[in-house]
Amino acid sequence: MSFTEPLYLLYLAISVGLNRLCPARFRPAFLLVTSYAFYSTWSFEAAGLLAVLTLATFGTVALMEKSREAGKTNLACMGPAAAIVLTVYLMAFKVALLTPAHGIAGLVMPLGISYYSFRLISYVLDVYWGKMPAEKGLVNFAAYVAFFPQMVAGPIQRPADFFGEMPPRPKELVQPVLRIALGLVKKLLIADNLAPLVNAVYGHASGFHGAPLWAAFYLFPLQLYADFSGLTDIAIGSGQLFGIRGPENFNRPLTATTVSAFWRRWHMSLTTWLTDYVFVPLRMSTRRAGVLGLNFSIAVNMVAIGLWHGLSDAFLVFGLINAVFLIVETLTSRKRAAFFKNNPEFDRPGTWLGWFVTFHLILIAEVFFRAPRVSNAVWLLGHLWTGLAGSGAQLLNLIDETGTRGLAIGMVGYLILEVGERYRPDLKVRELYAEAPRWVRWSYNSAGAAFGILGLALLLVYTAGKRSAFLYEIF
Amino acid sequence: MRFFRDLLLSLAAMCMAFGLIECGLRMAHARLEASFFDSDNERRYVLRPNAEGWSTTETEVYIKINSDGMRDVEHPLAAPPRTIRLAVIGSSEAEAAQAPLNETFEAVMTRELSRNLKERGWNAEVLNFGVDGYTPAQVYLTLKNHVWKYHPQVVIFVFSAWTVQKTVRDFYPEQMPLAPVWVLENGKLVPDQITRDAPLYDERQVKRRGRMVDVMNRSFFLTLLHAALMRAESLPNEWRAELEKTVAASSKSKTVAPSAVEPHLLRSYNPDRPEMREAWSITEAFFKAMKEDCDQHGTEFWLVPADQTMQVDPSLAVRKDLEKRMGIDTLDASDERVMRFGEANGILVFAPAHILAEYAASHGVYVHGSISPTQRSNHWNKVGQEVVGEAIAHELLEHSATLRNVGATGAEK
Amino acid sequence: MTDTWERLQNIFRDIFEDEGLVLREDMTAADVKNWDSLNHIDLIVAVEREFKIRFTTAEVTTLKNVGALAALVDKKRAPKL
Repeated sequence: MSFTEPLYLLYLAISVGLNRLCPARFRPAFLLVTSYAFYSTWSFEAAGLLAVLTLATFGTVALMEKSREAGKTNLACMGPAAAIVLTVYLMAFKVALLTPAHGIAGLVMPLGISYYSFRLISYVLDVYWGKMPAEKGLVNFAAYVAFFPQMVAGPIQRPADFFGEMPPRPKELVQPVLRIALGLVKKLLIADNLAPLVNAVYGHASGFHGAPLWAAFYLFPLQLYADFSGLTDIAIGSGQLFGIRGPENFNRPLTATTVSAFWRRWHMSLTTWLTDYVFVPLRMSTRRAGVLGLNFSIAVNMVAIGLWHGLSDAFLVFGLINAVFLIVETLTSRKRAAFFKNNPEFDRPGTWLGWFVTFHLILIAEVFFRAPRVSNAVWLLGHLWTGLAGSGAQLLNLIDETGTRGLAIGMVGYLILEVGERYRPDLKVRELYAEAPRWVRWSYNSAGAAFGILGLALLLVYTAGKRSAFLYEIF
Repeated sequence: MRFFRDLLLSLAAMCMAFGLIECGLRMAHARLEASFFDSDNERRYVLRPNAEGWSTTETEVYIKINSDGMRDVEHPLAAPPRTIRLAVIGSSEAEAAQAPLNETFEAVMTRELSRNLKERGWNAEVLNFGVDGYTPAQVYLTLKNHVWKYHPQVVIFVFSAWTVQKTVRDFYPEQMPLAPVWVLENGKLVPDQITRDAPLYDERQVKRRGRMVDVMNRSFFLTLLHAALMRAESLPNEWRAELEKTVAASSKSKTVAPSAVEPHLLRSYNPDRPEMREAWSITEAFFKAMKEDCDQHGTEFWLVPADQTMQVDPSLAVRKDLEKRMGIDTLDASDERVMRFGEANGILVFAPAHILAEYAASHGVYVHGSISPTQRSNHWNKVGQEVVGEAIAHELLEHSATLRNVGATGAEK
Repeated sequence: MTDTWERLQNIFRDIFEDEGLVLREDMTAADVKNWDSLNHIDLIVAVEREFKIRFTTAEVTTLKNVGALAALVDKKRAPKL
């Protein structure tokens, strides 16, 4: 089942309710059972595979720990060996079953495999490096690997954080529910309304010049952000209902003023994972190689990000482009810092220019992320400025075909989203609420209830029939 | 006292929120299907007089039902002077709720006939008695009890192969639990057992519900809530179906061959199939009953079998392919059967399918609306309504004795 | 070993170009402008060069804050017994 189906909400409500009724010491086991039940609705074989990998990893790491305590260091290499085997296995699976396309439907690959593999790998390496002791409880460990709110599309939580919250003691109710509601709105009202126009252009890019290409160029990143951050909101909110605080994944990434800042704010749990388990070890091995070593590590890291999404030439180029951006940035960072130190009057325009340039660099890279093949991406970027004359009418026609109303809702919704994210911390709603007189509080709640009813009704009516698959669900 | 003040203020806040929501939904044009039907003891359900609202199933059309329960403008009981009246009866093809009122084939017919009769100093008026989903029994009852007070000179029954199939409950068990179905007993048409045993409605309750529904239709938010409730009710069925699908996928059972044709299509295009024998005999009995009724009122009666989607697909290759997959010689078999029946029983028949088929093929357009990117509906789109309206009008002008005699004797009937 | 702290502070000031930087035990990357994963290893390399020691990957990934770094440096500088 997908995150936007009423069935998911029902399943979540029942699981959360049972979890709270369960005595604390049985909760990890309950989480395990409910996660496997959820996973089984996708396929029984995939659940079996997950169980096998979980047991194998648990056993390997326990053996490794024991052999280390006993002083037998050769067996201690099991750790990284297991990690490498898992990575290779993950990639092989992707090669075997994934056609190199951004296809959302029709993929046979066991869903969630990337996410749980990363959790397994991070566990193996954390224990190997001594960052945490091996987990003694198989139930806790298996629950960590299979935890279903984070199975669909992350975030990728570290084992130590998860085990630190065992047994879970859920406290909050309203906050997580509101977060899930926000995620649904982002996905269904914003992302899904921007999708038709974007898909129409990317589905047949070589049929367009000028204006329609610009529209897709600017709209896809907005769609992607709304889609993925909405999905993350649902995942984090669901986890919180069980008492598990997952890591945040986004921090207003499209407002970043440098490319490296962007990657520190986009899909944060993935980038920190890659930093800790790929970039830092690689950098450590190449640290004597100076700048060359740095550039090499950056390149490998970004290519890994690209290829993690799918083994295709477009994803590879996506990774390489980002690598180039980051390398240029790090090579010029000292010069740029010196410039702004000596010319403080350029600070504010510099920040704006930085945002403008970064935003467009990211958009250029994301064309390769979305296009099915490099040739499509190259076409789009190459024909933005050609044939502008009649393209306005072509764009209007396309909008008419894919739905003017939907597009308007999506764009207005996105604007509200960005403004809301910028000013929400400033509003300090909680403090205001706590100090307000009773009639204000009651009015706020009753108006909120009205909107809650609206949201539920919209969800029931507009998700009938079609499955709006998340863009990131397949990874 | 403060408690009541606070309560009132918070209720006011809630009402303001509802108002905002209503405005927001209207601005976003979030139109949802309004409810136009009332329960009825004679015909099981009818169009509610003066109901109005959006219909969104295939296209977005604002529907207004007149004070006599017709999807039409108001018609006085007596025709205006020097105006010939035609009554169109049938189900969804006749109601033409997929088109705005001025684009329906009835409107096209009115314009076309009036234009042609103007030189004789006459006008034409086409009355629309169609109701979505009606079985032949319901159409017959409409004719017998509701059409004659308007004194039409011509009655036209527009129907499709779907209408024919609505004479057998087994074909659509979920959609027709209580629909009136008549059967042949000793050669006579009588209501079947389920129809006879159907519980009676309390008319006051029906009226009360009707008034509430009219209020609901006026509000986008209330319509939304109603649609949400209906979806919530159907969710358990949906989940059961999905569970069955997952289990089936896991056990990798053999799926139906992709080239197999769905049963209802087989029934529509092939009237000689054994399971359709009963359906056609009942329908033909209704044709005769309607003709008798018209004869008693001295009115001309026409049968117009509507074209079906695949008969008028713009691609000849697609039509041939379906013929091959179904193992039949022609997609026009149902129409031909009606025409043979008409000849044998002295009933006027006009099958517009060949005109629409030629139009579609030569212009490369679809004449039926679309339900989804890959599915066409059984109902005419704007082009289809136009072509069919003109086709029927011209057929009547050439072959209808009543219309040819208009203005000749100068006497109204 | 008392000069560890001061020498570390000089390295930090140099790498992160902040003359006024004052180290604290609990200081992490979040507290210092310009300290991110890209120049983290530059810092490590500078520390290795300064104190003529070598870190392993495992040691680097387990460092929690500046205090831990200083303690690790001291441990590495201590003569092996």
